[in-house]
Amino acid sequence: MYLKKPTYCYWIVDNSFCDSRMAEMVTAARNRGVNTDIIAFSPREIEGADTYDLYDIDHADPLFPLVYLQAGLLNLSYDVVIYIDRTTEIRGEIVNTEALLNFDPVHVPLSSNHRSPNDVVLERTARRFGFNRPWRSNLDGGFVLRRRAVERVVELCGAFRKFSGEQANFKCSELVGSVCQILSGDTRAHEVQLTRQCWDIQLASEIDSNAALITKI
Amino acid sequence: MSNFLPGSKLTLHLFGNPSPLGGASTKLIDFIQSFYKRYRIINYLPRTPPDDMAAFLSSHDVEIKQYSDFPAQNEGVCLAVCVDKFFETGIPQKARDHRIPLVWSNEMMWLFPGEEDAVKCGLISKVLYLSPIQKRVFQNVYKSVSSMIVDNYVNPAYFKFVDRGSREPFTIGRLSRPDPLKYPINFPTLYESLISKSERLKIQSWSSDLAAEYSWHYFSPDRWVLQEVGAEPANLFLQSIDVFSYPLGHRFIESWGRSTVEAMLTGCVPVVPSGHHLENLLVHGESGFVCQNDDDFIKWTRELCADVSLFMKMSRSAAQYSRDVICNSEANCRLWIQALEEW
Repeated sequence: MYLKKPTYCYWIVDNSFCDSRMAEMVTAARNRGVNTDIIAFSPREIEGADTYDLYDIDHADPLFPLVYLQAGLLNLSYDVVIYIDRTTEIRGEIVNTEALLNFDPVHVPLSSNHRSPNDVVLERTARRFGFNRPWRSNLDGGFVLRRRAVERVVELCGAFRKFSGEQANFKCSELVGSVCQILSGDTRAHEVQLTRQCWDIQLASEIDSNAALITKI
Repeated sequence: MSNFLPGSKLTLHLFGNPSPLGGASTKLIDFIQSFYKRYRIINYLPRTPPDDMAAFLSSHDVEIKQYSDFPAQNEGVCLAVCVDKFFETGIPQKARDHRIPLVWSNEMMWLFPGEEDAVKCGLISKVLYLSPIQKRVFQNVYKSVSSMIVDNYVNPAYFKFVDRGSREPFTIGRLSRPDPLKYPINFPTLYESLISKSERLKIQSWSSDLAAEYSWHYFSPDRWVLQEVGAEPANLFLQSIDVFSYPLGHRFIESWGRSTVEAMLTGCVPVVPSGHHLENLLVHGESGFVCQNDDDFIKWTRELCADVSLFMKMSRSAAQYSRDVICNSEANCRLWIQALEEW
């Protein structure tokens, strides 16, 4: 299957009607020489990206990015998608997405040194799926997803949220990070310390704001 | 109760499908080989057995009958082992009507349809457990019924030890029914994490259901050998792998673990999860490894891949332990005789 180098693209969903941050991020990436396709869903044309209209869906649902991925990937031929959110900046090309994925269906940068209140609920839910390792917190911002796994990941994210209880208010990346852990062969491979070549992550303890995932060479 | 004359053979009405596939079915083959001289065995089957099984039964003087023929003899003991829909056949009621005691061995970790009602109606005379872990699951249901634990027995003659030497490629594998419940949610990625370079992953049995379950993963033919049920005889398959790595689905509990013992007899080093009867089949660190979590599976399997002398030592130790401690024919026969003849 992967005799050829897997193709990948960046994927953004700009559901803000009055914020130009996504457009500026794409422009900045192109100015830095990033040539990889960027698929954007936005209410307005984003220069430098293949722009598609927003779907008529509930964007208050935290899982809305997965709706785009599931539907969009049916019509596109990329093997791997790098989803990035509003707190992320593309600083350069990712050379080897397979190294990031480590044969797993999805990669989310994880950390064992960081724990949010939601992690208690997420870890408890993961045990219901047979997860039996030390829990790692996901670091907000983006994830790398294998095309062939998108349906399974979306299905498990939905199941994860359901089993966690409706009162919990999870971000998409938290649910994808949880699914990453239960589907991974070796969760340690997704530790941010091991993937610094792609994710240059500043933890909240290192900076003042809640930003920022930054991808770079 | 002793309902047969000294010198005559006790008639054993046997319900269950002897076959080389699946733990309970394989168990019946070993049982028949051990007891066909002691008992007159009548095997009641829902359909005509395949030719090789018919030949096996015939060569061991086992009479083959249909369910509707029961009881072919108005005496003896009825033994039913893991028979699907058994409690819907009317056989247990017939056994009671003919005063033939029914000995039941479930073998699984769940109740069969009608099993609980059969207990309430007093249709089961004695229940056999495979292991303490199985007994714990069922003991409330069976609290009013006579019971005993009869371990499985695996015939070492069929699973000969093979000295692995330095053959290539080093192979990690498992042998089980192709039941998705027996496979963990992250099976393919966990299995790939067990190896580091040129090792091979070999699975029997694989099925379309499992392929659908894990369609999100790409099984590279460079790494994986996925075989359907019966692609290789169990002994040859197990002799072809080096480490028997057996992660299980979280909703499944292994009541005994026959394939693990079969693997050990051939010289595979078992790497098994805790929380099942499996951990009673080996000595951790000597004849195999018991894993508390997935990280343990990775750690121990990689260690065996990397350290040939450790692997060779544990391979011999696993075979010896399984042969000397687990597969004790005389002890197993004594248990069966107690189960079927002492009331």
